[in-house]
Amino acid sequence: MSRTRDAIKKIAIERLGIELTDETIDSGKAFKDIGVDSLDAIELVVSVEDELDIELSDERLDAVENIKNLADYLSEFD
Amino acid sequence: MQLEFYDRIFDLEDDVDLFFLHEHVLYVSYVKSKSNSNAKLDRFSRVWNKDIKSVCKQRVLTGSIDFAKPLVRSYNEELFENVSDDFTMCWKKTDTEHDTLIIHLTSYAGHEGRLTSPLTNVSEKIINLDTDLLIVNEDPFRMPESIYPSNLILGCSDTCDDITKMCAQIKTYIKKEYKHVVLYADSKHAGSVLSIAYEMSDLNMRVLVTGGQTTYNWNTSPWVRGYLKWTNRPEQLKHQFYSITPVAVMHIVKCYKFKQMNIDERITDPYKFLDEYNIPVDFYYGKYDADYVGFKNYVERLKLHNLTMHEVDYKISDSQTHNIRPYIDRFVLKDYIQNL
Repeated sequence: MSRTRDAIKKIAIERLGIELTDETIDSGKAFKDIGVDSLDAIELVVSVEDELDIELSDERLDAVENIKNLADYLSEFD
Repeated sequence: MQLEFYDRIFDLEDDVDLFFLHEHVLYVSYVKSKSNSNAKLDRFSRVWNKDIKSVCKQRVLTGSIDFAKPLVRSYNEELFENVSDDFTMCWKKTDTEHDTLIIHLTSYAGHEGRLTSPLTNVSEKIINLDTDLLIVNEDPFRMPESIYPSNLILGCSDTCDDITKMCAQIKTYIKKEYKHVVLYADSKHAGSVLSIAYEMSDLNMRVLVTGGQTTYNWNTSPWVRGYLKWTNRPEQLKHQFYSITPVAVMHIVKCYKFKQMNIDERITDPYKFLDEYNIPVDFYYGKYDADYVGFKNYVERLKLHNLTMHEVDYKISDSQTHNIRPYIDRFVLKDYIQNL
């Protein structure tokens, strides 16, 4: 169980209407290939920050290219 | 007429005053973006602040906003074609025959001093719909807003500088009869989208709009009325501070200019006339969008037969309560198109 992964999945379904599984996250698919456009990706981050009460580094986020990158970065807060 | 903004008096008849008022509005945004740099902000606000600072810096270093032209006027050539000479319109590439056309009046590229996104920076969710798509974007280089008070009321560029010319240009892109033509607009175009619909009412027109400035009329705008009430407050209340957003300052100035220019009420206050046309309008507004609630209430009070109001329980974040487009693009648009 991962607190941050659960947060990603919860927010993806509640706010974006996208069901994410561990397999999808681990597949390393680009955001657009799982139906997440650039605005969705920012909103996902905003909501994750809010849900977990954390602030992510802009430099690190600029390097995030897919959902796995984001999940890996967030796992540092588990 | 002289009005007070930010503890200074600006003469609305004087273009130099208006120029510096606009500069001051940008400066206020810049100072705010700097003062927020250490605060805990959401990523949207952080990106916004970074963009504002970057644009201001480049503008100061180069002496103009022209540095942004290569970016703002760029477009995705794989997805779009038929770009107008003034870089305000373009057409989605498609080989499929569609019976619905979306005319998307955007406010993404280059607005509010950001100048950091291209002409075709629209949601993929709109591009991927089973429709034709024409993007119409105001020329952000027709500045300052205080002197060229558009919101599409004065067209979208120097060559299409009123609604009639702009709609004539739009019609040159429409080569066939569509079963449905949907005008999709938001915020600053929440009113002008109707004036545009009236101008093209010979098409099978309908309007999908998200909340914003529904009137630009000096007598009916809630922002103008609120501001004038404060301006004319009694002597004992003169110490009162009036909190006003940069967007509202520009709106008030624009309303004054439109009044001065004798722009037809059908254009500055178009909702009043909606029931004269056979144009259905779906108006979505955010439950938490407090700044614009006066505009929403204004159109509700008109009790229009052709207007359907929809409340949306959504905000991007606590500091971004106005923009509900992401929700509409995700959860409304597809069904809306399928159910036409």
